Amino acid sequence: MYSLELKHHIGGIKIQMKKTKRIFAASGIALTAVLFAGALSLSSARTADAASQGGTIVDGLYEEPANLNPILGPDQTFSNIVQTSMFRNLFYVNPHNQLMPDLATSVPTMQNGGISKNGLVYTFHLRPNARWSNGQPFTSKDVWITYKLILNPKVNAVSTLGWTDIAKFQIINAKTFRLTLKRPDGALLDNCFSGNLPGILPYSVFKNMAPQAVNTAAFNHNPTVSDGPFKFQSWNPGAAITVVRNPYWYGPKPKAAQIVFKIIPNENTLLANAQAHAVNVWYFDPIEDVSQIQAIPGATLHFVAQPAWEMAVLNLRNPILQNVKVRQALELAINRPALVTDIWKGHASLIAADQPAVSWSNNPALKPYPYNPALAAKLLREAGWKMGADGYLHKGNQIFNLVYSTTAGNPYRAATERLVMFWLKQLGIQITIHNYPANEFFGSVLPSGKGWGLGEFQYGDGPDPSFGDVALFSNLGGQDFGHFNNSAVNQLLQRQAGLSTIAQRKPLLQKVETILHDQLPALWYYSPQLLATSINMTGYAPNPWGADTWNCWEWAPTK
Amino acid sequence: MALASAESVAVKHKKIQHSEFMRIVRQVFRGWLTYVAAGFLLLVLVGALFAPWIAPYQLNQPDLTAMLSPPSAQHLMGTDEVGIDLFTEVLYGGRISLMIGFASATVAVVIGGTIGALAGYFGGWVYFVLMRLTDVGLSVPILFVILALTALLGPSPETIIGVISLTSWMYPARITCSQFLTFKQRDFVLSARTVGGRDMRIIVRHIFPNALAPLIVNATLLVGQAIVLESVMSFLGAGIQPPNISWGYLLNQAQSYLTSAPWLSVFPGLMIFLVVLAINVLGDAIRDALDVQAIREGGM
Amino acid sequence: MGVFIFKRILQSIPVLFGISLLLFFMMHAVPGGPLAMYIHDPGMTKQLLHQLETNLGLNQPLWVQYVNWLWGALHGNFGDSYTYGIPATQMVFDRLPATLLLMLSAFLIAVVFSFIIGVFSALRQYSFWDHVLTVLSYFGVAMPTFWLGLMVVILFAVQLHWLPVGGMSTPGEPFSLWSRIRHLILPVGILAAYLLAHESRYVRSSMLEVLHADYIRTARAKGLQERRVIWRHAVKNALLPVVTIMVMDGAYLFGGALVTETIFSWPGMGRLFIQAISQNDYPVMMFEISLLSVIIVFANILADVLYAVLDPRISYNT
Repeated sequence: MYSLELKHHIGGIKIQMKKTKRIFAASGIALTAVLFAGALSLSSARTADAASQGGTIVDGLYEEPANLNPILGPDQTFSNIVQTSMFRNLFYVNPHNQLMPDLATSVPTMQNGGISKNGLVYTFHLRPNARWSNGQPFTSKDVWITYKLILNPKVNAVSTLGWTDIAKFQIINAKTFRLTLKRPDGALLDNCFSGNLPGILPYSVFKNMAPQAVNTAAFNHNPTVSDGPFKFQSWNPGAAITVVRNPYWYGPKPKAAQIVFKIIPNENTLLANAQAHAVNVWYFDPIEDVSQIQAIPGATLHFVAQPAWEMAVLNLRNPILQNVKVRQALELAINRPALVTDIWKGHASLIAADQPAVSWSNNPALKPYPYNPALAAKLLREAGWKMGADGYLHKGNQIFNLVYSTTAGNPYRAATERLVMFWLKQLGIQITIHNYPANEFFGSVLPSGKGWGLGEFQYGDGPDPSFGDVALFSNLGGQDFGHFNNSAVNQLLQRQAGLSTIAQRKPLLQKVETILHDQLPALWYYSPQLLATSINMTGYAPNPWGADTWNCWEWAPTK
Repeated sequence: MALASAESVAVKHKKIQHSEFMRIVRQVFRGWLTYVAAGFLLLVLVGALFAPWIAPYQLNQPDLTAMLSPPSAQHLMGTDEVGIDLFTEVLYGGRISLMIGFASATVAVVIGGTIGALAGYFGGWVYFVLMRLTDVGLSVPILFVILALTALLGPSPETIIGVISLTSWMYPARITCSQFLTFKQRDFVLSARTVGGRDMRIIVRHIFPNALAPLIVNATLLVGQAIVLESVMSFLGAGIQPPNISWGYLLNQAQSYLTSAPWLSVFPGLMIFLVVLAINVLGDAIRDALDVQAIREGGM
Repeated sequence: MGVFIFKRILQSIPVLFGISLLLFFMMHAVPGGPLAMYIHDPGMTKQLLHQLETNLGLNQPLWVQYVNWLWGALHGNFGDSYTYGIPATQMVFDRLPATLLLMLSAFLIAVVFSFIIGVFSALRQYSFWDHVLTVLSYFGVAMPTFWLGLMVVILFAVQLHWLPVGGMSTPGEPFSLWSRIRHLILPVGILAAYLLAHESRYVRSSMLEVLHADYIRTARAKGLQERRVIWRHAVKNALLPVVTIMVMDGAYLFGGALVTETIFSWPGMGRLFIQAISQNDYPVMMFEISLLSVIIVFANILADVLYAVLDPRISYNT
């Protein structure tokens, strides 16, 4: 029996050997051929050419923009950065939070007559030498087509704030137009005409486009016509976006010949790129890497105060949190100065309410809550909580337990959580940590109001400080996750929206700050500084009020 | 041929089984490496079990004066970003990581082995249905299933074990199935059949011990895979949450401090590596021992 | 054999259909949704959000959405990405060449070297080299890619400046084959190392089993040369279980090596998938999953066919 089997085997194997040898050989050749073809075919068609005089600036982007259309959502910081190198608006906000003319000749105010006395009529004058990259002049028609499309329900507009207040759009001539509003809107210029997202579309491209076609237009990934210092050259999906000098831009000739926005979606890789001098600009550096970045030769770290704040929103649906004394106790029991010194290495400042010092609606009379665990314990006792045998506070048969949530994978938040858990345990408060990926956290956990007691996140405001207040703490906005809904705040915010000047709005907004300070719809942590690194280049000036590419014509590589 | 009494046959049978088992054990511990591996694993298990007594510090006890300090006399493995002693965290983390690793691998092998054995032995439509099921299991991207399920059920250790097993049973199934396909046409099975052996007996006594070898190798790999997979899950926010700690959680926390505080990634990473190594060495030794058995039985 | 293949292909159709159904509904069950990206926008209002929902077709009942998707898919139209607004098929195919390049290189290297290492290890079982190679292969399996990958980048790119830090090309550098190869070395090395670790162990254990089999002993007893014994008899039979593993590994590589692509900024399909998951970009997710499933199902069939080709004892005709 053995010999029979063996013969069958050996004979069979012989045949197989030939067969399998052939199969191996064939597949080996095929694989190598494909490899070579692949290596060769993925060629320079999309790779940026070596730059002519001026050099190349490489910008490291953490996230790839979804599209480069100035009016379409989603509102991504990195999309804004790339767009601001290519598209300009009537005005821009400089690093001192001043609105400056860009494609318009001057900022309309009541003094210069640009805004009518009743605040309803705005007149704009466009710069005579402002042009698009195809040579055509920038005209009122461009603003008009933007207005038409952004309000169309079929278009996935990034924001319609301000545009919805326009009652009448009147083109006086190619370089002048007039808007009549339904009601006064002090934030009109900030919302509609400064920077991008939303920005201004070129009439020549969009004049005949059907509204629903805008969402999927080829222009969104191939913006052929733009009016900024640089114009679009190529987009290598997932890898890099390249822009080159725009000869038709009205401003000074950009010092660099091209900017390459390299997509690097990993902080460690960004650090490695910075250390290897493979990027010139790195935005939003993580605070943990600061000492290593400072060690890079040729690197300059920029720390800038910004209109953003880190807080833990309190879920006021939870009966435990409905007593203001309890909320104050929580604020007092968390050692926020330690968070600033030890986690942020001093690159943050404590806040009394949501608006940091750089914001014009900040109320200087308010002082941040101190770290005072003894006072916190006293307040909790007054609120009826008694220490139990298990080391935790009890009221009746309820234990003082809160769920602390934030975005997963964020080192400084992870550190904050564990410290908060420890500090609150000293007072007898039990914290359960439950983190979620950012998408889920903002998309379903926070809005649902379920499954969280404290939700920590950061909010970044724009030039108009009422944005954040309205969105997060009033019934007018869409992000009142904690269900604050305070009638005094609602009324104040509504009134200030109808006023035209900062002088008129400031007192009202400062009153809002006082209420937010006293009522604590969120635990106010700190306002972190903006961290950005520039390597081997000059001209970089971070702008916490707009995109960091606001002055990209000044950027020049030194190597 | 005199018929022995039933009792003496049973006694003899038991004696043979016992001595077979002892022989396998001796085979396994033939090399010095196996002793080292087993010893190390024992040490780790003891450390994990007795963590609350062995750990020098309390868990979740931050110390702001000693943040990110390198290994020293006070802190054997250094401290993390809030000053918690890393050695303590590694000890406690071991409990969860090891539990997840062993439990997931066991469940996966049991599920997969059963499915594969049934499919391979019976063939026909049983094979068809079960193999298509395996196809579906293999085609569905693991990451996605993991994210979806943990989002729905919450990231508790039980959920994670379930999710990892659910995405790992396919390889054991395929291996077992292929082994059964091969062996069921082998001589000794054919002859067992001719003699009139029942299906269940054949599966368990003849085919399964032979199919065991690659399955064991696979199972040992699965333990390591499970531990590593758990760390990927932590990376995506779907893994173990504090106050529970695992080596995967520690490794992921260390990502932001890879170059500034390398001890944070070195020690948990080293633990994962050494444990997986030890398990695999043992697994290989067991495999080799069983293989020798297979030669004896296969020759018949 | 031809009939068998045809039958298997026919059987794959309900499998693929089942997968798409399962995944579509699971996708929608995961909390978050594609609108989560927009909710946090400063200018977002409830009205705008509702508008978005309608435009993306998300306010229709789930069954309707699935049927619409299926109908489109059967006609080759997998919808437009919610995030990018370009066709999902285009997004994936844009990144396919990059993934193919990475994957094929790594696969080729891994297959060749895992054979060499596995056979060598088996032939010198328990020797010093066997132990060394075994330990190295465990290393590859147990070491998380993100750690190893980053260490390698830091050593070779940042400290030594021998190799580029990532990406397929360096901005400003003119294209050349050598430049492409330089950018490939590190990511392919990492990928291949992992695959190698995984596969060489299977080759080794399979080789060991075969070497102890009767017919090998007989061949040796017959006086055949050792080399003939090994190459003509042992290796061919050791191929069997390993073939399955390798074919499946190859199929999975199409999903892209997620972590490797992230660390080396490689614009491949794996990164796209992770991104689509985090943005809940359903059309892109469904297309990638569908593509992957088709590849895997066909890889399965291929593995079974190779099985039958390589082992005359296995016949699918019974």
